[in-house]
Amino acid sequence: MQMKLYIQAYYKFNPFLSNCIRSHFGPLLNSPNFASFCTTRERFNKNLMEFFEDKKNWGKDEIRSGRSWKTDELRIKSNEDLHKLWYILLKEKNMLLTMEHFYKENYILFPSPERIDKVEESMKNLETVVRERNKAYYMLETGEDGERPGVMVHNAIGLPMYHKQEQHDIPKYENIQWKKNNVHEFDYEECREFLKLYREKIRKEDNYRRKKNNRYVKGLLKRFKNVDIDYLKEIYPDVNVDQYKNHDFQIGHWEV
Amino acid sequence: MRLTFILQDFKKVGELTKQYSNLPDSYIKRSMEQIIYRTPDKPNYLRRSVGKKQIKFTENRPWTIQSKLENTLFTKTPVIYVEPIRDWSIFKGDRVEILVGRDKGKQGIVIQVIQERNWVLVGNLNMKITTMKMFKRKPSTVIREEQPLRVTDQVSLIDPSDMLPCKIEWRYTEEGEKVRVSLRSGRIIPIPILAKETYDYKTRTSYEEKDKDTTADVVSKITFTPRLCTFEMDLMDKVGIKEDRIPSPVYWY
Amino acid sequence: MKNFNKFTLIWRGTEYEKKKLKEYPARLEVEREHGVRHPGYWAGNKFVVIPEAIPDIIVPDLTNCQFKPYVSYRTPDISQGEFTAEDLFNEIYSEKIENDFKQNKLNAEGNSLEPSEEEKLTCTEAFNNARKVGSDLFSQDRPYPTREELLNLD
Repeated sequence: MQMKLYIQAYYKFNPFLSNCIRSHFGPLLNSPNFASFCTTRERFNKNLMEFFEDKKNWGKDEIRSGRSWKTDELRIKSNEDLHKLWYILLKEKNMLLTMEHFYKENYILFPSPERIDKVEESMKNLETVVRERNKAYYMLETGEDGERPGVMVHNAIGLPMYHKQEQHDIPKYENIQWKKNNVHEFDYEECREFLKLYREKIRKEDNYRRKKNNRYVKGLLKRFKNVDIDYLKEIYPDVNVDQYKNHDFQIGHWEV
Repeated sequence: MRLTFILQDFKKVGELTKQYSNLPDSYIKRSMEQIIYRTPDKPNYLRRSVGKKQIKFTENRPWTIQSKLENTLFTKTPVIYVEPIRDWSIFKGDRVEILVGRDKGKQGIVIQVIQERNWVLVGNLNMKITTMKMFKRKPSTVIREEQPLRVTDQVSLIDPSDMLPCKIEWRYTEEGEKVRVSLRSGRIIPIPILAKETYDYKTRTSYEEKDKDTTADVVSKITFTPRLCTFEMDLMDKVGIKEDRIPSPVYWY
Repeated sequence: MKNFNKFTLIWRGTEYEKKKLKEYPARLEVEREHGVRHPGYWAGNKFVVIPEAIPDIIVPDLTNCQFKPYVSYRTPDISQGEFTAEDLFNEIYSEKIENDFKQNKLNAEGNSLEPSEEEKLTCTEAFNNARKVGSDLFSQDRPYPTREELLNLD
């Protein structure tokens, strides 16, 4: 409870924002030569103020908002609507990021930071819907995705990596500079030691994880009487549950 | 290796907590981790990060400040054994009887459900008395807090026909709904209204719409008519741009 | 040591170096894969601008738009499946094919005797129509190899 009081005091808003804005826009607004700008001045200020939040939300601890857009809701919208939505979401994101930067600079907690994640999620869903529609057109008319192709390829060390392909004027066998910068072959005999040790490391990690799971399952069977064993087998497919079930060591301290 | 440990902790967050909080997944992940340093996203770096990835789930929700204070960088998390349950059967607002402790035999209503530890907090039952010092030179205040109870052993649901504890099964009705049925009498136990409560609203229809929320009629309006063109071609036609130049053929590698 | 060729500090160097920098500014910025890219290419020390590569962002008119960045919780649940090439085909081509079949206007191969504009489109034409726009291409998300790929090396 003590922490709560301390945190409340920390949250308190000092009227920094209003001073900040007055210092930026004050000279502009009060200068004598600004009369000629009169008609566009209001629009200019209003448009710039969209980078900041609504004035009634300044200084609050928490700002409530709705949820993000889902893919199913975006699939029924036309392309123009999606185009407009993207820019509305972009403006909201820019506004939230400017406010986050401001609060960080003044060492105040940013109220409800989950809004940024909500907006990012809806933008991600929008992109999947657009990509679906493009992919449908390309797959119908041509047999391929209309997207940038990529290839799983081996490093010079021998490890696999995903290479996003690029556009070139000249074919591959003519392009000497590209071959120097992108090596997609490896000499097996030179990399043999390294690959052996690398694979050993991965298998060691797998063993560690498997043993950890074994230990956890043993502990569960020891502590709890009625564990759902079928469900345990589904969650831990690598663990031999039947072997541990009836072991003497696993019988716990209760009456059978 | 460490990538999977991050995902493990996030997977352990129960579905009921996510439903109650209305928070997006990426925010929960972001606020659970306490990472000091992350290697840059370049080909000559492996994906490694330094910080605390495993957290201990307690009564405080994992994205709050109190849980961060409990899970600082230097606290060790002990291994906590939590039984996996396939179908979660106890919800907020359910009537429940306690089977162990001082309040054995008493019935109460569930206030909070903590799915990550298989815990349930029952209202005004199984309380613990502690003292807390709020101000200097003044006597400390006495606090009574509910202690959590385990869902599998220490608590059981009540059959509304008898008002006695019973065991449950999940079955399907004729219409196809999944419903809890008590094995003794065969009566259906409905899911309480409080279970659908979230942080933002008590019931969906009673939610107050804020300034930046689109209304329901705008969202559910259908405006899409498929045409034989891509997204960009459609917009180009609507705006009125005309292009005749075709890009030259290109090698991809 | 006067090897100032490879250093990117503008204020260091002899007078000859400084004169040269004014005519041919050094390549200070690193080429990036994401973010704002430079619209052109480096020919030696000079940067050549390609006008087609300069992005032309089209912003719609947002007056009287009822969309907002968030959705209220009162909306009913909507479910809509993925939009595949099959759905597109059913929308655009299926009706005409049915009518042609009933009126016996199909070839021996199955193509119609009176093809519509969409049926006359060839592969390359459709591809070029889409690429005329000149927009950025999406790329598939697969940055990090999986554990099995790391273990199975062929």
